[in-house]
Amino acid sequence: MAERERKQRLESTVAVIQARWGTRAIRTARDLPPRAVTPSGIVTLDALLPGGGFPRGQLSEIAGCGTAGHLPIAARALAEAQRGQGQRQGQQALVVDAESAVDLETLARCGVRLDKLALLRARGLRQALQMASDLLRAGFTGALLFDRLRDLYALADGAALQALEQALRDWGPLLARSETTLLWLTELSSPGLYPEGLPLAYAASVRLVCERERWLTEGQRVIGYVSRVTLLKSRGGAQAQSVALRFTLR
Amino acid sequence: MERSRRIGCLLVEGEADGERLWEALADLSPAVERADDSSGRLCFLLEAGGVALRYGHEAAWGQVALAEVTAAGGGPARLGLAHTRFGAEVAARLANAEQPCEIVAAPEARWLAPLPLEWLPLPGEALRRLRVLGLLTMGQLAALPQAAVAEQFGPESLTGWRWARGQDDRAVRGRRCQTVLARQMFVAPEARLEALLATAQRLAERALDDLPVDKRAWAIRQLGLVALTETGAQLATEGRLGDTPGAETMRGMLERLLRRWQGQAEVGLVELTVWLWGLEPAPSRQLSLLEAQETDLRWRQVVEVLGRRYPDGLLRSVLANPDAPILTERYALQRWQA
Repeated sequence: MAERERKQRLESTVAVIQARWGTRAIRTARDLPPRAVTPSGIVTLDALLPGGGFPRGQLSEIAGCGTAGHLPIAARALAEAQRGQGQRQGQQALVVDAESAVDLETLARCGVRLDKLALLRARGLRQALQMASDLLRAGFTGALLFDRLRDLYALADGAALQALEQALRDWGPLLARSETTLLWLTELSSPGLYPEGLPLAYAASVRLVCERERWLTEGQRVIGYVSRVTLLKSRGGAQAQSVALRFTLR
Repeated sequence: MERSRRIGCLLVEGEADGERLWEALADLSPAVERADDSSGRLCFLLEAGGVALRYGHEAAWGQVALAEVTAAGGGPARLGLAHTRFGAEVAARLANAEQPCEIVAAPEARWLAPLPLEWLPLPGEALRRLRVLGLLTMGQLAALPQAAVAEQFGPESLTGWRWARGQDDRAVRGRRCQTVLARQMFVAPEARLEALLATAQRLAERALDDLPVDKRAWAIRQLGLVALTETGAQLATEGRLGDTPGAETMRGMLERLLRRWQGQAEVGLVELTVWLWGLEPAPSRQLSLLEAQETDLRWRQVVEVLGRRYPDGLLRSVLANPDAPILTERYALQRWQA
């Protein structure tokens, strides 16, 4: 009886709220729309990622040391975001380039339309974080790539670390509201050596680590490499699974 | 592998009532999209998967579609039927007076292969380079590897490359109509315009929130008000909105509609209903009419805000030297201006 009464009371409360604020103001989790994703553009990787791509409205981290495939993966996701597919509209893609070292050639080779790409050029990490926050506050919707930062290891400087922590806290609701796919490239100095104390590991919904397994050669010439991409963390998806991807340099 | 997806493209010559034609064609397909081309012809894209089952064969459906156009007052029409949107558009352009219905049954890449490159959306410079290399047909372009196309002719050429390979995955965006409404009863009869306007605005927002799918996927076309006066008389009025009613447009329209009643309704209103007539996405398809425009608008706002705060911070790459052999030299970074 008490259970029935509680249910009735709940239903009447829901009805009152819906009458005042609309039926979308309160609803069960079952009625929520599925989370949108930006495909990575690589079928085997999409199969690994929750929902078939990088989640929109959340942060995804792709880490790796030199020539491990993390930039091509991010670039292909940007290209996919720009292109749109089927009923999905193409989106604005933007690269935050804090070290004036963006690799336009790799981006173009992976299918990113340079004529539609925006670059946010910052002077150092702190300004880059501030610019990204302003961008999200101004209503940016699309795919945002935070290019590799070499001074991540210098985060022992307390102020920079604090700025990053604050930015990550601020971005959560802003990203969710704008449905922006935020990809963060973390450059590792050597495989398996993740910068100590970096709060990205906690803030990211999806974390991928790329490690180069071997070079592909044709005679004496290096024509590409094979990387193992491991899904370290994924909210609402499989974890600790990996896939070997082949990248060609031509 | 043969793809089951089928799309029809109908090109109609001469002056005709587009809305009337759309209504006529809506009975023949689950999704009809109007996509008029630059030549001034009316162009309709129709979802045509499974029409062979219903009409016996695709040609029969094509004949019915052409007959519908004539019956609805349209001029001479051409129909193309293919696996992709681009294929259907090309087929419609190839159809002629003797054979007004061009049906592509073979794998699309093979059918497109002998056609000239000029039909693809390729940048002028890419087209010139392809000609210099002796590549003149879609088949020759489709045979090139993706990385080579991106590197040699720029990533903006990849769309054309994909279409030439029969990989155009753009869907037909159909529409259906649906009405949503929100109603409020007043405790005491209300006659003040400001109060009625505030109520109407809140009701419109509530109705918009009650749309069964994401409201950005809808295009609201009409808005109406129905009211009950304290004497028991019913008042009704309606107006037409554009595709993208922002808050200001909505408020302006509501005010105009309420002012129409000022002469008639000296008495107060006891009930007010706001209804919105919109376009519903076809089943399992997402209409993005509002979303695309909203994204563009947001991007303009972002550029404006960031441009004010960081004058040299937001850059874009522009094609500066089309003849440069290395891709990165072809582009130069420039300040992105609103």
